[in-house]
Amino acid sequence: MKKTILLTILGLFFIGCVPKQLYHWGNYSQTLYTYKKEATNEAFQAHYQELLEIIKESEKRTLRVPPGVHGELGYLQLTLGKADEALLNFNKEKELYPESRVLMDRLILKTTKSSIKEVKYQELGKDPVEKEGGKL
Amino acid sequence: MITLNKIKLFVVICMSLFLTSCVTMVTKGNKFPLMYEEKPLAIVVLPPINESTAADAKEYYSTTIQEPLSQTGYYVFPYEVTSEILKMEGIYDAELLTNMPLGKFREYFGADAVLFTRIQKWDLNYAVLVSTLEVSINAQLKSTKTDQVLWEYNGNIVVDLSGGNSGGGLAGLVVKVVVVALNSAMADYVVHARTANVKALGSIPLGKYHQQFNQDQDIEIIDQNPEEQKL
Repeated sequence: MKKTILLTILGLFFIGCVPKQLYHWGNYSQTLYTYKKEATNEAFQAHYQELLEIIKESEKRTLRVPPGVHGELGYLQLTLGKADEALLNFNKEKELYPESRVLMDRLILKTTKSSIKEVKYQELGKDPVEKEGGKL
Repeated sequence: MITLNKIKLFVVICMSLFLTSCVTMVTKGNKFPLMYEEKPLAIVVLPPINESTAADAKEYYSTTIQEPLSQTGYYVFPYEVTSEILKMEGIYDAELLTNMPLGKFREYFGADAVLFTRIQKWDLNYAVLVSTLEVSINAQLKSTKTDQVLWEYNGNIVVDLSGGNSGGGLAGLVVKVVVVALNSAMADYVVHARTANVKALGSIPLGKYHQQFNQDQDIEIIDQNPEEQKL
């Protein structure tokens, strides 16, 4: 009994010492904070690149991409008007984390709607909406 | 060679280290039974309520919470996305939501639980020898099914900012102070904000993506008694 208690405490102590990390988050907090502090184009680019880097590095280390990273990247792409890439990332998030479905579907719907507007505005011949959720 | 005596000594040191700041111990299972009952997975982090005097505390907190929370095994919705959506709905901080039924978050985001945070103190103390970040927060994870509090943290965290590559006598000390001062003005201070968040999350039962999910009921944590917490 005493041993178990000691082991538990020791275990606790070590958990605190050497946290085994589930994900690779890179410099996420830093680049995001810098961007939140001052929303310059440079800071935006840095954070955007960091998200791409996290995905790349996670794959390299055979880790699951952290929760929300694909979703956030897609959201940034949506603000940049890159609808196709945004849709890919929203779907990727949903695939990796099925519990994100409700929010991702909402974002997918938003993306397809906004690209309808864009297409009308630009009066382009090709319609990116047809590919995904065109009937929405 | 590691002798039995050395191990014993080590254990005693560990124990004393562990016990110095504590009053009563309690297991996670006894302290947060609803966490094990409901097993929430998807968490929405709400914009914190900032009661501290630091204007940037909110930003520091919100940019450094997602990472440690996800490492404990939960799905954390991308804060940048959810906070933007909430902003569009006119919700800038959680103050507006304290008495609202949380079922909306299940409906709108598919969330199992919502994290409310009140930042009571966010003080940066500069001193020649020790510079610290002192953070006082009250965090509550509430169920979107029952509105009940599933997990709670209430406390004071002190992060030593002068840690890391120190040394080098007095000259090193001067450099250190300068570095701390510079860092606090820059994004590197984010690391310390994250450390504060990691510490605050120390008692949360581990989530589904963690290897020890549903196996940590017997882990002992410091029993936080909010009444005793106010020093």
